[in-house]
Amino acid sequence: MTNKRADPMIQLKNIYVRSRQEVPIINNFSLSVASGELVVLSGPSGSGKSTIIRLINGLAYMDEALVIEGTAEMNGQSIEAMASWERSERVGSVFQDPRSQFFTSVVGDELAFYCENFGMRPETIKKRVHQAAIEQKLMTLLDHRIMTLSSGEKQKVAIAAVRVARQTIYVLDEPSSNLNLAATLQLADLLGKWKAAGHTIVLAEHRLHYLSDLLDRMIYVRAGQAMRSFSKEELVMLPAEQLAESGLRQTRFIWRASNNRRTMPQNIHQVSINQLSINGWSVGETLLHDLTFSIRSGEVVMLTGSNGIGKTSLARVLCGLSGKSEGTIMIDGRPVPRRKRSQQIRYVMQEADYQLFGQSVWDELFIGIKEDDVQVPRAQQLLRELDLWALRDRHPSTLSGGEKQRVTLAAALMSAAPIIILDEPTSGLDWHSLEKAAECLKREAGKGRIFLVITHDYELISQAGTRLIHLRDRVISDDFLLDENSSARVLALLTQDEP
Amino acid sequence: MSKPLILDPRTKLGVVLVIGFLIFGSTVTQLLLLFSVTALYGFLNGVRRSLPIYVLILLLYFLSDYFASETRNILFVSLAFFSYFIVCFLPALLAGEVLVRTPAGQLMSALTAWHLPKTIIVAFSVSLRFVPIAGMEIRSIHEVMKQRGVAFFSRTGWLHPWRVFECALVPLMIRLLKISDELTASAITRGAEAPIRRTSVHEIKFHFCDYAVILLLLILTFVLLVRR
Repeated sequence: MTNKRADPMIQLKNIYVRSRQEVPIINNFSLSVASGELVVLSGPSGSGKSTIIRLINGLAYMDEALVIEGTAEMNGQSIEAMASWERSERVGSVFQDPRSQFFTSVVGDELAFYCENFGMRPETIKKRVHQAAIEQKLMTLLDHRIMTLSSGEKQKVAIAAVRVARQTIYVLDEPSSNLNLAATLQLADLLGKWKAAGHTIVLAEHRLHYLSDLLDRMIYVRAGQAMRSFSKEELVMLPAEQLAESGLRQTRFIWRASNNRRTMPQNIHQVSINQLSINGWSVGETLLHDLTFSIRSGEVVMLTGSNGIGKTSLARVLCGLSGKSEGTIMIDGRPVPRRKRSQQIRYVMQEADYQLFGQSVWDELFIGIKEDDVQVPRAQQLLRELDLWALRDRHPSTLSGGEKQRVTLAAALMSAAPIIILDEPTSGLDWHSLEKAAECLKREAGKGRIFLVITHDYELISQAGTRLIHLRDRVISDDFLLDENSSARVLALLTQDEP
Repeated sequence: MSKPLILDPRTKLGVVLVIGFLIFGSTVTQLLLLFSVTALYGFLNGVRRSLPIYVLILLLYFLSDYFASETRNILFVSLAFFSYFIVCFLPALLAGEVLVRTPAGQLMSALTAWHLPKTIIVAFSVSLRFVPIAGMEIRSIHEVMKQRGVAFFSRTGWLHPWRVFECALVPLMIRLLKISDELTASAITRGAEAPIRRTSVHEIKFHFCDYAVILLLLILTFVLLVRR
């Protein structure tokens, strides 16, 4: 068993991947991962990280649209030659979006899915499900419906559903993108345990802060090539500027909120919320009560709080999509009834795919807006400022995640609404996209818009926030202006356990 | 009347197939009988919230049919014509809703007991899972459309219905493609293609109420077929 450690567990040699239309995706990529190693692939969006993950778990070989050259081996066996079920016995795969990975509607059934496919005996299945549930602390949730769980809990179910197979190799594709900081730290804890148990782990990930203590190597991937390999020590020593230049997220938390506040803009708006209560789905259930706050032009307010506390419900009430509320919402001193609010308050949802209807990016900006002498120059300016001008004729569905997110932002900015609410705008974005989104928020806030941003992204708060409102136990527990000394307080709030 | 019946998924599937078969060639009275039977069946199986909608559609049909024969107005005649088609499908829709509500894990186990190939089982349960997912996606998309002034019941909606239809369809297609891609990946990496007969944590067995439902269904089929 001792000489096994010397042999690489995963060996990719001179891999080329291109699409049938001859678009190169991976260019001469080689990687060798030893047994028990934890390797992180990081780099800008669209660099081919996910494709490498899909090579290791064999999904790329089943994709008719890809042409693959080079050798990929696992434990000395060719991955291509293995059958899909043989691969799934060896490699456990965790994907980015836990919402669309589930086959069944109940947690316990989902965990049993793998074992059932392999025809295990019911007693064996129960034992394995039990063990995986204990590892992920899901014992109390086994008979719950998956739909009713929070994102963090869904991710745990997704991991447990893979874990029942007891593989020794795990690949994870951006596992933290839908998790809040508390859940991300729990994920780090789990990866640490797996590593201690001798499992081999490969992750594609933008967020580096939770991995910098765990990883053995970080491979910087760009344009389908392994540009550089960093050891843990080298990565931690890298200055923040160099990370940002490479499009990488921070390896530790650096606070820069001191310069986000600008001088007050010319045209001033103000939204005031007075004694607002948000009701839940069932009768008599109150999610949030007696919220009172007011926001003025120029502010970029970060709204935080644990999953399921009612941040999204609050946003839906504010923009008039939901009527489950009591209390008054005033804009510029006048109370605005629910039906009128959608013209004043614009809500940009988390999922960009829902919100792009147009034939092209240009078309997208003019949905519900007349193409006239006033609006056309505004659209041109917006596209230039958001770095979308070159993409104006592209179909929105062909864009990358960061670009899509900027298009939804541009569409919201085209409206005359003085208040814009963004829901998790930076989940799954690389550093460049995050920085651009943050710049845009600051610039538009300077012109007089009001932003309320639902987020749990420390880096976004640090880059763009001027004030933070934290929800806990159905009320506003914290409401303060962000300055150079807020770092510790923000971190404490973000890592707070779910009640 | 708080707890729904616990039926074997195979019984539920059988009910859908038989009811679907019986719809063809039924007179209006027979359809009404079928509807009442499936409505009771649906009610006992926990279909409660959507039941009033089905009854409303039925009432709409009878009302428009009555006005059509009284006034001979083209509007009522066409309304009666179209609502008749929907009414024909109501019993099958009710039976189908009971089936769709079955947790997918149980459904897969039940189909395994019928010795169906694994590919068919997984494909069938995934396609049933798609119905509620698509519904949720459509609702989310429509909320965004409302905000951007292109909702179905807005000014643009009335003036340019095709434009609005396109707005809903494009993101829906893209979302569904993505979801089906991800679901497939998640199935394959969890051994869905393994050439081994599936087992199950659920004990799949016919109970007393299954036999009762099957017996009643046979009587119903017999009565309806004899009467033709």
